Amino acid sequence: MPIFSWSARGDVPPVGDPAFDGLLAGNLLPEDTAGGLRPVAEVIAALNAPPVTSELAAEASALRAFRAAGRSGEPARSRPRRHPLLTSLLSAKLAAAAAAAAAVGLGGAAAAAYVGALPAPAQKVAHDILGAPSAHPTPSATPVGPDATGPAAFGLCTAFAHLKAHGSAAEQAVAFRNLATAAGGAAEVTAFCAKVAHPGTTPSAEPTTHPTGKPSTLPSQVPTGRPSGKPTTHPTGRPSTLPSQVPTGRPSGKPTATR
Amino acid sequence: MGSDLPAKGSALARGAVDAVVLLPLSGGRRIGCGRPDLAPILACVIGEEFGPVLAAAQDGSEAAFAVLWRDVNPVLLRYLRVTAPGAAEDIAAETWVQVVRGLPGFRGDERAWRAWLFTAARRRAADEGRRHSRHPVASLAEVPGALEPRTEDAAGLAMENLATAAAIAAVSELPPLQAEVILLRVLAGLDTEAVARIVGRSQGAVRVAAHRGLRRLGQTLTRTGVTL
Repeated sequence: MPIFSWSARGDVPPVGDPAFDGLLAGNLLPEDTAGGLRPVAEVIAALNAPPVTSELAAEASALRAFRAAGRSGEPARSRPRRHPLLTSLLSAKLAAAAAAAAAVGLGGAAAAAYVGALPAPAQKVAHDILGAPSAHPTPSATPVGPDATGPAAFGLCTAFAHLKAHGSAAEQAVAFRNLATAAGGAAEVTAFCAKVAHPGTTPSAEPTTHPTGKPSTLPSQVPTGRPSGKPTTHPTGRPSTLPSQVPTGRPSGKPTATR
Repeated sequence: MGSDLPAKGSALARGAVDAVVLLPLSGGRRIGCGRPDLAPILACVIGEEFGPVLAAAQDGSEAAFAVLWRDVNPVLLRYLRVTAPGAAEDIAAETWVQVVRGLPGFRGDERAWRAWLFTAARRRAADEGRRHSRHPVASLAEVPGALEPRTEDAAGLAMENLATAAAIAAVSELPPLQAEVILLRVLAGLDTEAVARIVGRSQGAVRVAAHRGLRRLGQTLTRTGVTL
């Protein structure tokens, strides 16, 4: 059973054809095309098919990396940096492998039409895992999401406020389920969030002491990117100082060229 | 576009409903991620909510970061499966670690965001020297058990995978530059100018490479017919 309906034969447009630009910009759908362009349009549509589990399997580890970098609203800076990142990378790979194996293992009759359809990595993963005696067909990990009763509540509420107006499946997302649980029900989220204070405004009293002296440790990271713009000011005028040294020695050789 | 798309009876339109983790967002120009009634022609794009979602992620919201991650990771993986076969998951994970670190300093719209992500992934792939290890695509018949029939639901889920995998395999057959510019255009949703900057070529060269790639793709697919 073919998935792509490119039994239709026809000339492929020449390089420079405006139809190619329509395909590349996503403005041309397979049903708008004919002849040799149709299979190309279907490939592009297939490239942009909705995500599948294997492509979203690493979400938990991505969120762990987010937390490990101290971006999650909770103070995580005292933790060692390297370990969580490595853990995240490893579990990302494992989760993807498990999900890919599940997808491939469930390949079904449709697979017969697609001899040679799998890319090598999926092939290897499938082989490794399908060949193992104790492989499980489905990944067992369940996304847990951030704890909405903790310091993440403010961030969750902020995002929720942005998403609420659009009424999509927002409430069903894991994070928002947690938020709803913490609030005591989906209907209570708005009231709950109204009471969540910004993390920066929580302390009720000013600190009584102020740090003095220099920090004992240096920042552990150096900037990795380059400046994105040019300097906004340019030097004008002459240098205010002259070079402090004059040449002291004599030239050691004769000029080698003359006019 | 989107809501007026006919719900085709094809595998593409049916979608992998059960496989898709629900996205909290459905706004934007190219809607329909995970929604079988709105078959997308291009990948999920957050659209006008991008600014607020980015700001929330920069404030530390994990939920907002998850929205950004779910939007890009699938297409990032598909890009890397062509340009860095065998290392796609690793490079994607490393890219996100880098992105998380740079997140507070990022300024720009969604196009700049995607350009940043794909640029980071591309550099990482090049750094690791993995980009040129393009493996030949293996035959599905060699996978033990892969051809055994299973239940209808499972077949629906797998077909979605296979259509995308088949498309990735077809693009992988193209010369590297042609494959890459096509993927950056249609997966990252970047225009010719942005792609030219990323691959370090002129806009004219990018446009020609993309057109040559599409033409070659069409010739190959037409010649080989249904069996790809």
